[in-house]
Amino acid sequence: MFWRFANFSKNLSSFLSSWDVGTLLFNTLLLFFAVIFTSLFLGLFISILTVRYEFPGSKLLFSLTILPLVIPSYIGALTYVSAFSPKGLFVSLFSRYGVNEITGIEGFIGSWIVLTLFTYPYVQLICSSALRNLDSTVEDAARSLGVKKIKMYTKVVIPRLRKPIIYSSLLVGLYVISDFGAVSLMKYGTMTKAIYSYYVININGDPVIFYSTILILLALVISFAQRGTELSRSAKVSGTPREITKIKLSKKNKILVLTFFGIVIFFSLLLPMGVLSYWLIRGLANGNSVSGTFSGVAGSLTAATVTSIFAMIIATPIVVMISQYRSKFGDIFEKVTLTLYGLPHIAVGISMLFITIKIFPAIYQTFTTLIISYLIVFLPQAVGGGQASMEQVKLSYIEASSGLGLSKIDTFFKVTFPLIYRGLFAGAALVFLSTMKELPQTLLLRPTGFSTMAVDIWSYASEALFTQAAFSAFILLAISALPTYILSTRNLNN
Amino acid sequence: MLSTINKVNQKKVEMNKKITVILIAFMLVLTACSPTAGEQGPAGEAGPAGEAGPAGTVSQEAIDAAVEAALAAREAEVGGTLVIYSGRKESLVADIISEFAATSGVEVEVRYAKSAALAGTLELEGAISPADVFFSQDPVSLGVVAKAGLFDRLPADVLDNVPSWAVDSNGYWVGTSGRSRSLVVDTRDVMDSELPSDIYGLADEKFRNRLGLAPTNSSFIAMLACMIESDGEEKVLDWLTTINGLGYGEYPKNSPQVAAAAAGELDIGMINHYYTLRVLAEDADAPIKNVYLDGGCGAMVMPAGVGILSSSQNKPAAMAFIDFLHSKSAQETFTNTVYEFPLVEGIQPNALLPEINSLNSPSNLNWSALALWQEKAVELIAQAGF
Repeated sequence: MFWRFANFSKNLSSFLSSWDVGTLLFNTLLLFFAVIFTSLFLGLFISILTVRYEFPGSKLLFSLTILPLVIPSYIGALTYVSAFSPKGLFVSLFSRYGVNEITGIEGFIGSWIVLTLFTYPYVQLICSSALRNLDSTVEDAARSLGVKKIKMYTKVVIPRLRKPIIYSSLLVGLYVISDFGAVSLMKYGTMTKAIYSYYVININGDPVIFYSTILILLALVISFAQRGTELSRSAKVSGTPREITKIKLSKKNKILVLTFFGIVIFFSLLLPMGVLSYWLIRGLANGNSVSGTFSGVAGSLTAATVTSIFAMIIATPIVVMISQYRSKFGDIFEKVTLTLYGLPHIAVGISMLFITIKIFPAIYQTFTTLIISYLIVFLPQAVGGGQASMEQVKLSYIEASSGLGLSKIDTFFKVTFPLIYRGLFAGAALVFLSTMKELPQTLLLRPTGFSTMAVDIWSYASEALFTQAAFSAFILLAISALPTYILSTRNLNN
Repeated sequence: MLSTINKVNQKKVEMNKKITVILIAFMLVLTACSPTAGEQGPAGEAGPAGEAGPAGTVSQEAIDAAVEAALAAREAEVGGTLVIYSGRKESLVADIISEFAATSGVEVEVRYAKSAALAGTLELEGAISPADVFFSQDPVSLGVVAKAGLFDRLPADVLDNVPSWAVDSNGYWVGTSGRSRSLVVDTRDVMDSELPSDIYGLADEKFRNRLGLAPTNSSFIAMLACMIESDGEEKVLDWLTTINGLGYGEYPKNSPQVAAAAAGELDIGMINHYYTLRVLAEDADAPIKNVYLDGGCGAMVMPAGVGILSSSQNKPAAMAFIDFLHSKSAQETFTNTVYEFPLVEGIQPNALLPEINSLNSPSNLNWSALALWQEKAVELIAQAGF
């Protein structure tokens, strides 16, 4: 993947002077930290509320707050732009109340809001599953010692969730630096937006290679920064996970919590769905036809299923290796997969395009190439999911198991796998959802005539065929919602 | 598989090696089985496909031979599979292409993307390109592919089907329909008197927050290439910078600008003429109209066109496709459902279209020269901060 970057050497200094790399880098990093901060806050807050507290409808609210995961950021951004443009839907809805024009949501603020709303479920999914497996007796002990609520979470709970927190913020952060749909629509100048503007014109050009190189270096720096934080001791606490007794909330607090959920669900789910419904209803009322919008369904399902199965199979040994043996090899593998995840999909797509054309023309524009390139970027989600639950497989369990005379195979199936399979499935489900949403790689690498729902939605939306775009988006959301829902309830019940 | 993994655990030293082997094995399994999983993958077709076209100077004999081969190709039986790279949008040309498939018996596979991106892809693919024809929405992208030496020359009678402004001067591609740059204006918010006669006139304070454009649109970039060719880089950069400073609506393509103008969200959009006409054809009362600038690159009339890749494995079908695009039926579809200018003589332009001779497009535009400015145009867009 890197060989082609070596090819570019032409006028490095002129690039540095003619394009404002500093600004692009600053913009990218600013968004990176801002979105991680707000996503972590939202995701952790929701996790703690739903796992540790009792209030009406908590299971349903947990599922509903996970659902924005299925909304691709470019669809989310599109609905926000449409709703909050200076003379958009919001203005036309409230024009009778004297609202004539608003300052549109765009640029940094727009990208920040949209990316936060559609990435916090990653934090929620990973952290809630870890929190549920976290022994709550320590908290009970802390509580009985009179530790106050907020302090307990900052001093007792969150430190023990360090690993899933770092993982999920990496997932979010790397999503942010590789996202191009939301930042393009919001007109916020980041690295990916620069790459995208050039790639549609000249895929072969130096700017594409130049910006991709910088972005890859950025991803490397980020994953090495994570390595730094890992060096300090990992907070493993002995004890067994047991039935969690949920804390009851006072009536006043119940109302506050429900209001909070209402606001989150309104902005992350109801508003985008509302805009889509508006497009669909308006279009159908005007007699637009939505026939012929099903072509991408089979493509999406096939691609997502194949990718998630392979991701799970490949992730299993990696998870075991990384978490249990702390081998150097596993460590490197962990870094490599995480770095790959941070690569902008455009960069991976373009690299795969180069590699298949120049080295493996036999698989150029084939399904195989597409799946491999999905795996390159989404494998870390499967690994991350498995790894979060691997935290509770303690070395002593394995030792005890072999002490009792169980073979390694039996140990894996009877001890390790039952403890981590939920995490692995959660990871595979994430891969499934991500693949369904994936756009730039699909556009570049798909076989001619092969389409996915994401590709359909993108091309309909860019041709202003909003009726068809909305219809396809609904199918995509419906198909994605099912695994997401099952995933979230399974999480809750156990 | 899982039991294999467990055996691996037996010795830590051996573990790493074995897992590497397993991972490679997984990848091989994936490689081996997935073409059947995705039947759409034309794995076989992507193989090496002949020599690249001549890039440099070509002898007259070679040209004659190529033209003869092309003529022979027309006589040959038409069939097989034709892979079209289409920079023209699916919603505009899908019907025409399926009609071709139905009447010719050729199985057609179409890859839709932006014209400029496809031109770049073709350059990258070179001789292994699976594509037989490149159907582009703008002449500049065609020029890029011609410049790379990837097109076959077309027979003279095909080139003679259309006016000389709509063909490549070296005969590598031929126009299929014409489109003009225009402004779509919201007639409720824009008075004719405030509009400039020239594209540079849009860089004016009175248009603050009222303009729309699609910076990645191939036709917009073609217009910039024309502006660089006629007025020089500096003036174009100034213009772009001023427009950016005025605040503008950025759109991924032209059609959303028309929708936005009709919805009252945008006053003036820089587009190609037919998007407005499509909306007006559906709803004659829509509060929008086209304004054609008087001269300069903002009034440029461009051909959409098509060329045959030298590496094509099915030139007879490719030739038949071009002939079909010049047929009465396809030309009438272009003008009556896409609202473009027909290029073949004797076809009645749709009534919504202005008289093509009344448009004051810059004369004698050299499309190959514009192709050289494409990259510069993109650079200027970036420099101006879009």
